[in-house]
Amino acid sequence: MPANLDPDAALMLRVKQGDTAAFATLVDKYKQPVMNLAYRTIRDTTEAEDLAQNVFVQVYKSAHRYRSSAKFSTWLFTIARNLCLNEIRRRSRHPAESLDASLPGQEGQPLHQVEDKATFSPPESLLHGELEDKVERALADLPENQRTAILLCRQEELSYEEISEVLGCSLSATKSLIHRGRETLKHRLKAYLLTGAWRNPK
Amino acid sequence: MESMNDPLYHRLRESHWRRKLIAGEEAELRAWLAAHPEMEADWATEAGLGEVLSCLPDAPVPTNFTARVLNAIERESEGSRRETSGWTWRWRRLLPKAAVAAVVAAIGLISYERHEATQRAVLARNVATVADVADVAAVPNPGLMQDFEAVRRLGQTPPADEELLALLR
Repeated sequence: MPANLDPDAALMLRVKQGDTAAFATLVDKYKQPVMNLAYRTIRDTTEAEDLAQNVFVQVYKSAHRYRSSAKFSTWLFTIARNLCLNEIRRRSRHPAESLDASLPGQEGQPLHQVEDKATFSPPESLLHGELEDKVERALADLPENQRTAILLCRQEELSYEEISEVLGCSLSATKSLIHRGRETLKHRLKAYLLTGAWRNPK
Repeated sequence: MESMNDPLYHRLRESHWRRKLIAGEEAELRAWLAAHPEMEADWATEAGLGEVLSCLPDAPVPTNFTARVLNAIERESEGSRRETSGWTWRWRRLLPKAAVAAVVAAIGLISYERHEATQRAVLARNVATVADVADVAAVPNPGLMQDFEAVRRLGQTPPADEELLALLR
């Protein structure tokens, strides 16, 4: 095994030999970012958990195809994005009743009052509820490729080249997606961004 | 606005998209903004968005998530182990091979039957040709076909010429 092997790649080589403890280490490390991507793609906590779980199951089943020359996180997020896209396509073929639908005569009032556990913020959160809701909705309204590009940008271990690999487009196209997505978000959130309303009042 | 396309601004902005700017980059940015005050507002919203996105809470992950993943993998492994044992699995493996062998045998049989039929047809044509050749002598002089009466009398035995016979006696 080369001395300068990426630590994640070293763990994956052990996973290829059936080492489930090595696999558990990788799951612990990446479950949060994968869950973030899944949740902000399909906007349902329970289904996002299932999708994130399926991502790692798929990673394990495909371990024999992993090449140590490839960065593990790039490979992982490529699988995660593909499963997210599959779920988006499945939902577009079988649309469920919208949680935002209103009863006749009660426009503006959602049909289902469902607590969004993901936006229930513990005290240490720096975003107050209204702004957080605005940001989440603005992100959800972006085209999938722009939203995924912006979310992957938050993963500091991914370079722009690696993000473009996950998205399957060129480096310049990737940066263009991020730029366009951010311009849209800035436009929608301008009123909040200029006031610094998100800063922790504590 | 030309300053929007400034490569330095682009570079610093793209760095900012992924992480906080380091001290050197912050100094570069302050100097650049001092020279391009018209970009202060743009940078303010850019920086604000960066902070807001970094403050987004993580999606909740169940505490037993890793255990659930490992259990799912174990269930899938058990399922595929059950599938790959037993006579059902052996039959499933043999069936495609048997199908291919049956198709090859059928093609061979059909080809043989066609070859035999072709051979029989050739033989029959040869026999017919020989028969035709053998009948050539019995075919009357084509010149006779021009004379209807002569054609009518073909196949008829001409009556004896009594006068000629009497003269010859």
